[in-house]
Amino acid sequence: MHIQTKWAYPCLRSAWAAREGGNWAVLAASGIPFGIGAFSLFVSPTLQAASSKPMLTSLTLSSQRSAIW
Amino acid sequence: MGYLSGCLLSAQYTTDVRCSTFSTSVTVPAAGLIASEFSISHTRSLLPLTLYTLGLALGPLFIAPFSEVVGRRWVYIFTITSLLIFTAAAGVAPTFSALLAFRFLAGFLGSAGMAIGGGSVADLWSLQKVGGTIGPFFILCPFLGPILGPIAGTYLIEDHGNDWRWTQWIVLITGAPLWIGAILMEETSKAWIITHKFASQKPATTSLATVAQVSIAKVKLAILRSAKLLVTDIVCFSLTLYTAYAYALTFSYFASVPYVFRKYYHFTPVQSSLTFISIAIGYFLAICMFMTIDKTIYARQVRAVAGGLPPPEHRLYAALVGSVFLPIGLFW
Repeated sequence: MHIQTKWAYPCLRSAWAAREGGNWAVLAASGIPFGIGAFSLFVSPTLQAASSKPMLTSLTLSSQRSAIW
Repeated sequence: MGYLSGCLLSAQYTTDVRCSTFSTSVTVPAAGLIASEFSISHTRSLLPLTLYTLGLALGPLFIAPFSEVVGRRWVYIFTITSLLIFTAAAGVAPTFSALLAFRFLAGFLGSAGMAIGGGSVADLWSLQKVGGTIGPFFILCPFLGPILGPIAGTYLIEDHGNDWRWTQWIVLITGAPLWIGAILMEETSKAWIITHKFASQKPATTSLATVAQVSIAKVKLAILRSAKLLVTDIVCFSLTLYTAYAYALTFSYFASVPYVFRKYYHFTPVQSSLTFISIAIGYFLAICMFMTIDKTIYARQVRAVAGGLPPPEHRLYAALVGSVFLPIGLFW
């Protein structure tokens, strides 16, 4: 537990770009993987739900979206 | 329907969705000004965003089923009119409570386009190859709206002497052409057109009471179906929870990132709002990834399975990649 804390804290500290002295462009670029992740995690399960329960989801957003893919 | 009409209608649907999601986050840069005008805390000043988003989540569930009874055109007219009326009311709200109420009603009554827009685009282009190009862009619109909101809001507030009410006027300005478009648009729902044609050949027996009765039954069915799916299917529940978390993270990002940029990098509000463009780049890349997966891995599965319908789990390839990218973005 002590070893995990010992290593985790500096890792997280150095991984997070939002700190004084860091480059703003590095932090701004974090939006790119964030955008890929957020979009995929929203759309992909929606399509899965629509494919698995087409009858139950016929009136929901998911089926409407799946119709155009 | 001609190609040009199809393009115009698609533009109408996609812009409608963009408008209702744009209105979500456009108040984010105005939070500080709202807090000082109504003498409330910063946390409470974020409630106009929260309540609008809540309305956006619940509204389509109640309003969208009406499209099966009265057609999509009337639902579009109703939702855009409601969005504009309640946004205007929020713009002139004399008290904070009134602002919250009008923002909720704008989100609740004005967002059904999100639920019926996909079906509308599909009905227009389902038999043509161009649908494969328009589809991804339609899906992108609800996501681009919240990105453009804070950017436009910040510029407007700065250009109009820190008047937060301009965040509501911009929704009216961009929404007014949509209202005219909705009035002029044709009905595109195939199911409704067929039913209407059959009905026109029969004696008119459909009264207003019958329409209301059928509409209520459809709404009940839609709510019960969604609730049943959510509480009885563990896979659906888990994925919904994960999706809700990802969506909540996106809106937390809008509130927290400008704070970090102003505090540590001494950015102006306009400069910090421009950093949201990186998320839009991420969305475009995600669309490219979706299209690649759809044309390669998923297409292979479709060919491999008799009937061309692979198990629904094959739709989750993009989520697998996304589940890795999201923590990368958070711990960058």
